[in-house]
Amino acid sequence: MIKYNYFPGCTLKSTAVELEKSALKVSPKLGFELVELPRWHCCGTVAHLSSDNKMHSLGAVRTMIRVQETGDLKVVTLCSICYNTLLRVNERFNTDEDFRTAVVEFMDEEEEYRGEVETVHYLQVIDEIGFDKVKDAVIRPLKNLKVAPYYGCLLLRPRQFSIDGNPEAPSIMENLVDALGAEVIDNPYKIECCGAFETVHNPDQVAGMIYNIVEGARKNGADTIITSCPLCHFNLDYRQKILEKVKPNYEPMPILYFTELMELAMIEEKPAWRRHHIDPKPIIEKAFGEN
Amino acid sequence: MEVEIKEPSVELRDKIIEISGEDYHRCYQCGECTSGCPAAGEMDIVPNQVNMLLQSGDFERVLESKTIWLCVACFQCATRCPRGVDLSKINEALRQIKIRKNMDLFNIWEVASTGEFPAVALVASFRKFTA
Ligand code: SF4
Ligand code: SF4
Repeated sequence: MIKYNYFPGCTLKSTAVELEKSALKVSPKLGFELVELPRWHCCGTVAHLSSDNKMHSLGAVRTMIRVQETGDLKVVTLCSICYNTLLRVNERFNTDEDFRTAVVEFMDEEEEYRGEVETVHYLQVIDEIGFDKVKDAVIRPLKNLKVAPYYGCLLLRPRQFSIDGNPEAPSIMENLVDALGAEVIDNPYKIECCGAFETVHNPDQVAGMIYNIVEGARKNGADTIITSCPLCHFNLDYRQKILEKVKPNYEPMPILYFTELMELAMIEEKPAWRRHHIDPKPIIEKAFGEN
Repeated sequence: MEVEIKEPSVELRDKIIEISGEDYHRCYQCGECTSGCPAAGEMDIVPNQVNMLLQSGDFERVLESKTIWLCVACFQCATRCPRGVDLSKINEALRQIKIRKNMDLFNIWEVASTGEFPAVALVASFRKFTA
């Protein structure tokens, strides 16, 4: 079985455990195994946008040093934020001489980072393996489910890091949904931001933004939306609680991680997901042909 | 929008350009950034107006706007700008100019206790909005 270095990032160990657990379950069905990096760090969560801040990038560099130490320069992430941050910091390391020198000198207790780590997203690993293989691994085609992929920002932008080279009209998740036997639902809001970190101090703005996303999917007939980002998931899932309060007769829509959708199609047992604010039970029942 | 042409503070101008690494003078006001911005509806100055006001030297109006705190760093403006201007970085520089004077947009302890937030949300929010 192929083994990949795997960088979880902090949120996959807390609110987004289900993104990780389901990925670890389905990977062997596709012929690979994720091996968690030793002593990894938080990636820093936001690639710092000011040219003179170096400190906020150190977590990402340290994590890439951990990858380098394994002797295998490829690392897989599941979280869109980690994916984006590692790629952006690595690009800066390779193009900004000042940054590189300062970081290397500051981290003189570490093995020197060489700037060669290749960060890939789990979706890209699947794409490389091939969606035919995904089809072969399906034991329960999700033919009753209508699924709207949601990309958000960090799988797509900046352009050079877009997950399948098409930041305005990506299709990698659509291919996955199709391979799992579910019906792909288009959503005009699939590349729009969910409101991201504004959720902490400005939840109403976020509720407004996710309303567009959920309704965009609903109008086209979706039962659920899938995402690969723990922050998008939190906003799309938890912030519907605000919509339930302010919109009369609002019907909440369950939001799944893309790996959970894979679990529904590939794993024998029924999942017991506990970290959802909007109950995913109707989706699980539909997948298992119970309603 | 009425724009007053002001004598720009050279010091502030250089700071914005240095921190962001972006030159807002390149902007030719096509409005592409604003049309794709998911937060424009809430903003008091929309993205292209940020550049217009900066070009006219009215830094104060931009620094006191709600806009710089509503930008979610989604990079849509940067991806679509035909002049290669990255407004997400300009907004970051404007926030930094305020934050580096020891300004917090909110009280960390108060907001953190309003929900069970994912770690990424808290770290990102504190890095973006507090000193
Ligand atoms: S898209 Fe670029 S050139 Fe057009 S208004 Fe916005 S910043 Fe200016
Ligand atoms: S990065 Fe900020 S200004 Fe640019 S489109 Fe996104 S929210 Fe609007």
